[in-house]
Amino acid sequence: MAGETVDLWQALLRSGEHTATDEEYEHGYKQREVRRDLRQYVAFRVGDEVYGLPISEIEEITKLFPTTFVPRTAPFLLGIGNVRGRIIPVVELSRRLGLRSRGYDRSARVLIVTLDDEPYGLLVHEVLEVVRIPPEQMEERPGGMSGRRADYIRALGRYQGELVIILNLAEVLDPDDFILLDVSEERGPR
Amino acid sequence: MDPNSSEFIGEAQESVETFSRHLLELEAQSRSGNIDPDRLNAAFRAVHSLKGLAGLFNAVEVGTLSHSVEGTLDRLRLGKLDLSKGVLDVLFDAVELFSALLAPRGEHEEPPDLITLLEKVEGLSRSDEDGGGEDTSLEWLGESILSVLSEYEEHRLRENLRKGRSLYRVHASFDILAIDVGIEQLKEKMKEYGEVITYLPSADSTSDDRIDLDIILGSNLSFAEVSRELSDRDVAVHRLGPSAAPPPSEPVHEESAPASPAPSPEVFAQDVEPDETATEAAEVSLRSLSQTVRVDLRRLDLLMNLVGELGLIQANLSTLHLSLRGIDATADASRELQAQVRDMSRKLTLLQQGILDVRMVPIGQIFDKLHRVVRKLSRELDKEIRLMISGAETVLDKLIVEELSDPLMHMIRNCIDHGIEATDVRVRSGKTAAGRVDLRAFQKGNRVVIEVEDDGGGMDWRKLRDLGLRRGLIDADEAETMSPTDAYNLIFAPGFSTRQEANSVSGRGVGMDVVKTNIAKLSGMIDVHTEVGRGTRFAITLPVTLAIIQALVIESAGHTFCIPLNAVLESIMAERAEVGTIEGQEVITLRGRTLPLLQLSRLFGLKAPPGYNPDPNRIYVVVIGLAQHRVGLVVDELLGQQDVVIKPLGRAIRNVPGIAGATELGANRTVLLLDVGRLVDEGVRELSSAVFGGEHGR
Repeated sequence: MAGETVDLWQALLRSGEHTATDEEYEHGYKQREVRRDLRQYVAFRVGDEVYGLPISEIEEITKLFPTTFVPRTAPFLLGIGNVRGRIIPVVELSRRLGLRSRGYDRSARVLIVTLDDEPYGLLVHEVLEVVRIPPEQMEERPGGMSGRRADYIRALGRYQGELVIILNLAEVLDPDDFILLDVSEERGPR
Repeated sequence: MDPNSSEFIGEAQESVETFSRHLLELEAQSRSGNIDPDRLNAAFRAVHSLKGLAGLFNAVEVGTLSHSVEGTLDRLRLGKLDLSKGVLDVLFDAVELFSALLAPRGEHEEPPDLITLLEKVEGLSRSDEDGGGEDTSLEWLGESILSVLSEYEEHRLRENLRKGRSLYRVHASFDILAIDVGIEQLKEKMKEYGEVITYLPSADSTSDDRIDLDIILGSNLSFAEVSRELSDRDVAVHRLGPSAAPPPSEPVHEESAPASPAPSPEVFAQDVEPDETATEAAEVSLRSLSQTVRVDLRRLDLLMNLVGELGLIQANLSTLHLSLRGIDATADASRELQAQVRDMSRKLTLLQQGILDVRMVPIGQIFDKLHRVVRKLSRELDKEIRLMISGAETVLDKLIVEELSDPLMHMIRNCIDHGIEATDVRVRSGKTAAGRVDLRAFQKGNRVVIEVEDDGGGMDWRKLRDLGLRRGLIDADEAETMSPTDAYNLIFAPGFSTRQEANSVSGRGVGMDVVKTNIAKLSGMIDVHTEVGRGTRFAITLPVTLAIIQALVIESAGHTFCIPLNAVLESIMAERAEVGTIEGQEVITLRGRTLPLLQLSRLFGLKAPPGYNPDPNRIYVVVIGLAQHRVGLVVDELLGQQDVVIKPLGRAIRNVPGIAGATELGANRTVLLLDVGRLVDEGVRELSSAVFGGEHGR
């Protein structure tokens, strides 16, 4: 089932077109014209939680590909891989978000995202679906949350009663966190 | 348009470079007292085009300055101003200021001081107003010629007369279809005998398909000689002079002159005169005469990447062919495939070479800049310096050439400031008063060597050692056992400066260590040879290009890496038992020299995959060297050599220490490229802290 849906999203991503869902057909196709402010998110599962990223930030979704280990980098960097001639760092999202690690099965996918014109890969356990969340269903990151993890969260969305955590890519992919510091300059004679 | 656009900056910088080159040439000519008017014109044209460019891009400051400099050059052209040392100084200052104006500027940086220089330039123009009153009558030339001469042409004409040259009117007739070739040939020929002052359309055109021109030539040769050399079926020479009869040209022709095709681009005076004729010339010069295009280096990188990928596909095809041959070795199709794959690989190599060639630029580009630095320094320090340049045509990757200019500038400064002695010291020790700095570039195999050599005082290794001790770079024990070579290498240490006090020229203590770092970044090496009393020579060895490099592929703890081959001095196989330790640091003795060892797997914290067990008794040592250090890198396996295309790593991981980039080795395998300079540095630091216990450092 996962395979089919992925293909559908691939098609969606390529065309950038809006496809009507069943609900929309029920409410009449016109609804789409009215709700132009609906934003599309790709929902995916990391560990037991559901996360989302705006569809515009995702370039493509691929199956896991071989990566090369990069020494002296943070454990969450799985390695670098080659996607159509481009060298792409692949981040294991569950480690980055500090979730309990869990194995990957056939539904594991890599989301190729772009941040400041540079590609990154995000390894997730499963890609769920493309959801449309109206702005009024989005809430700010709860003020009570604090710490590094909270920085990764841009907003919380509700979709059919389920919580979707919208990630803040700029924080998740902060270049300063990739390199292990204890092996760099500080090793010189004191 | 934006005056900060790279398009403007690039083109403007080129104009400034051209101007500077002509200026240097003019300076040399002014010393010999024989200034070539063509050279002056060329300098004028460079500034004129810069002015036009500045106007187009709305770069006000550059525009103002170039307008002012253009005026000065115009006066020089017209003989209203002499090319004195003072004038040259101001013009060179203008070059510096142009460069400063074009350089990127941070928000809080002071803008370059335009006003002072402008005043200086204007001062030049005013003080020498109307030097002459030399207006000897040229009446004898006849109204028909006089009335069409531009101010510049008239000046050149007088100048020729002043030098005692004779004037000739060369009447030439050209086939209308071949006129540009004909004029060019005749002009070249005439240049050998004198100066071409102007071209005039001639009155006595003989037929419709021919065009006749009168060319005024100033020459030292006698009438007989000139006419013997130039006369032929279509060319006739007449003598012009107060005694000669007025030429038979009729004024009627000037009115119809615009209809004739005479104002071709070769008529340089019209091309650059900012008067009415310019509009006419503009129509001709709209079509660019240049046959070059500017290409963004990034686009070339893109092409290079594509070629690299094609290479991979080609490798895959080869593999595929091999497996096909396993099935049926005799099949015609298989043999045909092999031939085609081979052909493809040859063409790919050519394509790759072609793209690399496009990136190549002659190193002379920065030699010109260095020439200016030398000039400025010799004035500031009051040392007479002769800069000898050779090999300016040696080509290097554009990127390398750019990165080299700062290190070379530092080195030249050091040569002049520290190396070359004061004039009286030189004379006393029997040297020429003028110091000599040699700047040489030449290709050596697939590397380029750049040498900077001075004939100054050289360096005494004992003094260097003592200074190193005083600066706290080494301790007493180290000083005791220090070899001359190690002492020379001290000059590359941060915080080392042989001058007692810092001055504006060099000696902020950032000189040679910065040089070393920059050279190492380009996978280059730097060596120093010095002899007390005789001088010092620095030699920089660089790869010709960076985009594609030859790499040694190695394996360590089951991970594959590439090492740039140009940093590999040799690779050897050794028995584990040969490895000794000094204070816990592993070393190996190689041809009588002790070589510190670095375990790559330990440096990188590599964990071997289960089931990976290399021969425990055998190791491979890759001897790597950058700048002046040599270190042995211990690896498990040498997998071979290969040409690899370097791909940059993204923002997130491009600063991983010890990793320089990534590349692909067949079968979509991404492999990391080691940053040898960095690893050697780490090794050296580890070594010194191991051997000296670390507590003596700063």
